[in-house]
Amino acid sequence: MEVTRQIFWNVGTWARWPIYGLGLIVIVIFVLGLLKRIRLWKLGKPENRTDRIGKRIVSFLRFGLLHGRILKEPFPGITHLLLFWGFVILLLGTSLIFFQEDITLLLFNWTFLHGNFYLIFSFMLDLFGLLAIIGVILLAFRRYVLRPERLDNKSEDWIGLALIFLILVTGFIQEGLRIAVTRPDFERYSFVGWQISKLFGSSSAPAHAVFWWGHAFLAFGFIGYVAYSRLLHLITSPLNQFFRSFSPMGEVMPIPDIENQETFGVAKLQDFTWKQLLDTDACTRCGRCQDNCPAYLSGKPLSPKKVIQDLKDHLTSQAENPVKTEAEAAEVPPIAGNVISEDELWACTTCAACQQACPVFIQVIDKAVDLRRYLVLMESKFSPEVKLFFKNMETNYNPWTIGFSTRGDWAKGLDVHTLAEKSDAEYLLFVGCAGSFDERNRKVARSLVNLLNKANVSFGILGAEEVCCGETARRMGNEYLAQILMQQNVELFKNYGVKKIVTICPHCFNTFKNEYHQFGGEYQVLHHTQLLLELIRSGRLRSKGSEEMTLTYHDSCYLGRHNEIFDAPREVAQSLGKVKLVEMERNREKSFCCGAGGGRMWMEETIGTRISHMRVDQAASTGAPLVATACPYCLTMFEDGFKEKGMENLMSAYDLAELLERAVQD
Amino acid sequence: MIAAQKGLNEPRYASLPNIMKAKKKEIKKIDLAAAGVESGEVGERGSKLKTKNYRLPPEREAGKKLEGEPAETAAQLAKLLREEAKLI
Amino acid sequence: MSNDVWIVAEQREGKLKKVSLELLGIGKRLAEKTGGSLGALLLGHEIEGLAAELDGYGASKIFLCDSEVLKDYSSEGYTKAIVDLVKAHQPSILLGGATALGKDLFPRVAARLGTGLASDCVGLEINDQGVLVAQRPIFAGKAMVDTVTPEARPQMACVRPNVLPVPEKSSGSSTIEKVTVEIGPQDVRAKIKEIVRTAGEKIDLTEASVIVSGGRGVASQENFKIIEELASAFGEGSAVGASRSAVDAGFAPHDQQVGQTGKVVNPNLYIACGISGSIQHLAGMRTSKYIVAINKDPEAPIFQVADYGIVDDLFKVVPLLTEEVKKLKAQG
Repeated sequence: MEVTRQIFWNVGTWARWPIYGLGLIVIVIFVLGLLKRIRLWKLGKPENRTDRIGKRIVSFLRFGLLHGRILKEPFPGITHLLLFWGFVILLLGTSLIFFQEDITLLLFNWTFLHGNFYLIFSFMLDLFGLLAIIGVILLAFRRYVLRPERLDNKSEDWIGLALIFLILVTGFIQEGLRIAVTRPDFERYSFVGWQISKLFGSSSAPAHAVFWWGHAFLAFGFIGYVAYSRLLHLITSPLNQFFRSFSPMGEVMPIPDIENQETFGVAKLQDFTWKQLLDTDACTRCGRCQDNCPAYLSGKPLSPKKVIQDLKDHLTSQAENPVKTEAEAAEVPPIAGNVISEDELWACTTCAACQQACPVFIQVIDKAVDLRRYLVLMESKFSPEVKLFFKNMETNYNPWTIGFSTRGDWAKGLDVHTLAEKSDAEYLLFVGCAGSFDERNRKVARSLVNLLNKANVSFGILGAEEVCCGETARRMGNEYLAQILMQQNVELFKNYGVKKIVTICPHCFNTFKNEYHQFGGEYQVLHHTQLLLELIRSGRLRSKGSEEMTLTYHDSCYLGRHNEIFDAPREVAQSLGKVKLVEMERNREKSFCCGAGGGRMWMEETIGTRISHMRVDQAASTGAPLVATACPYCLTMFEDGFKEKGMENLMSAYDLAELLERAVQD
Repeated sequence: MIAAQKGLNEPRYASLPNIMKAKKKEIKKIDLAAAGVESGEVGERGSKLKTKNYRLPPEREAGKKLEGEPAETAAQLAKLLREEAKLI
Repeated sequence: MSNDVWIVAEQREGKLKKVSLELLGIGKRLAEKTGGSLGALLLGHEIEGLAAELDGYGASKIFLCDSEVLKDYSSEGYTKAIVDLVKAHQPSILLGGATALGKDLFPRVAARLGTGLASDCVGLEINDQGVLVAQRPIFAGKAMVDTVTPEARPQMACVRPNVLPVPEKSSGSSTIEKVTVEIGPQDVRAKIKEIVRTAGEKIDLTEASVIVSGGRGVASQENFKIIEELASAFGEGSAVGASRSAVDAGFAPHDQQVGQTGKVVNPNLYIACGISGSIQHLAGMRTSKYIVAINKDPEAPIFQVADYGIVDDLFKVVPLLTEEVKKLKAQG
């Protein structure tokens, strides 16, 4: 007997015609549905995402086919992998059949699905079909029995799972029925079908036909359903991985040519770019963003998943009720405050835990900032504390009501020179607002200066000429104020010929490194822990290294997640002495925000638990009495948190510069 | 005419489109003649008050930390507040 | 043109303001230098009793301007009365208090008389040329300026209250001269409809001259009593404040909060008890004339801005301080 199977066995080769017909209809339905979504994405502004095609293809391969981020959570990751590859292989298999039957056979009278190739073919399809069934069952189990908090359940979820399950099952049943009748011995290789065939008798031909057609209808129904349900993520998720942003995580895009714009920020969907709109369709509501969002976990109304889904629903409603006239367009209320509430928008700390967790690279911070820009620049809608921040920043270039002429006073009595006095300094030490004015953080600045002098580092400060780096104003949505500050700094740095900058604060670090190029400022930027590590490694700073200490290190969002600097501060910590570094459960990319980023340091926190208190609890549960920090915001939040929780006698927080100064003392 | 004191209300924060519009507005310059004012009537020349000189206020001394038992430091502080600061 | 020095005493609702006596004190000293006599103006309705209170401080004459039109303060009414008198007698110097009333009244008087006005003075002297030199703080006290009015007369100045000393009452007595004021209701165009008193007896933090403030170190709402007692010991014009931490912890109400998100205050004396001095708190009180800090923690940032600091347990120091203040106040 020839090692093959007859395509259209028992059903009749005439079946190809209704199959073609149905297929065509279903493909048209699918394409129409896809085009409808594409048209919605195209409502957005243009954006270039076709650069570095090579990197994009790699991104698709690594994160799509190989499930890069999806596998970070083993159970959902592996079960989805099973389903995904099962689906892909089965799809490939069906395509091979189509290829043979409708192309090679008809045109060249050539078949290839026979012999050993057929055996491997059939075996693989059975294997991956089985894996897919296991995947689907486990996924349904997770969703409906385990019920993880981050998953919400809609009808499209069970419909999708049911369809897939039924397609797979009917596929195996009709294979079993066929084998029950034809019974060739080589069909052992179709091992699943072989086992199933034992359930059926040799007169199963009619039943086979039923299941064959049933399977076909279900499969076609599936294809049609894809374009109108969450299953579209088959297309949009890989597309999103392909078109993802390759700019640094910490970079917020400017409003270009701000002097000549008439509107600012995002009021309506058309103000987003097409890619931002695609983001909303790529989301499968997996909820990993929510599971890692400090605002959500502390009881704020903000959930990144909800933000994206609300925008998606809003986008869909545009298709159903399209706006045709200018007058109608004017009637549409702005997104900020309507589709997404103001509380949600202001709750974001821009920590990027959501973006880090998202398997399909959806960006959330860009949308939050765009919507904040609308509230701030167009409507002047923000809380009184935010207003105070803006006013202080405009008047005195710092967030407090302190005259800018005293900015250099922290250095009085120290061996520190301004760039005006020392024009050949190698580094600009950018102190930042906290280091300049906040007494607790002035101590960090002084410790750092001490260390730099000990190591004979050539550096200078700007003193009273220094103004805020502008990072926080930008994230609070006041892009105009931010650009004024940034451009002022670029000009000032140019005048002093600044090439290398070392910062105390990760926020300053992030903006100088990743954002100042937007205004022509290109520098080599180091965070102080990076420079300190260099000095330790090169022997210019020697730690006495004798003290025994147990500590935990808190990864600042703007050093860690945003700029992938995890190891340098840890190495500095290890050099302090006989150090036992106990990691918090949420560390490195999974670190938990201290709650101060995104301008939240300057806003009241009235809903839910304090984010800083949650992080204090996480630090306390390591048992370490000392928290090592690398950021003035984090340091402040920890110290205030200890005080507010009555824990000042149990735990303390110090910057790595302070700790190193102590360890290096003569 | 109305004179406003601090705390009358909370000033608005200008929206950016309005800031941009304001930047483009023409600032009309009027000279003294157009305002119907003699130059001797305004500015320093027109002021009845003349400045003799400017001085810096005396340097604020560094803070004093008072030492001793609570009874001693309390008494010391009260004395200083009366005699140096003239506040009691 | 005489060498006389005149002061305008201030009364509100039948009560004489302390600044009137401070003005008599400086007025007397200036008159001794110019060689003229000291005169005092008192305006109002049915205020003979107050005129008697001004007696004995060195004024040779007290001009009593009594009219029903002057019963309530109005800038137009009072201006007319003062201007008429000044034009009639031509004093060389005219002084007033830089109070809320004074800031409204004296610029108008000066403009009407075509003379200059040195406002908010903390010092007045006659120089060698016999001219009045006014010493005033500018730029919120960051600099001082000396000004003179070389030609226009009278030389006018408003004195900041609570700066110059109240003189001793002497034996010499003043003549009280009743002045008929040529003024009618038609001269006062802005009519007072109603005087609305602010509710409550607590003085507003932003107007207090002494503030005793409690922080997290006070530890409970009950303990805030010792803060209140210290504030009361300073008498009139004192108030109780609190840091953000204390308010958040429920020890004090929000309207007592001093700081960036509370009230910005500028008292003569700010006593911070158990307050660490975070930058947001400092932003609300750093311009106080004198700052005292009492805190267990020698590293607390508040000590960086304090004029006097005590590193000790506030529960020990504050009650003792309250006693000491009461003792000194009783001495007078």
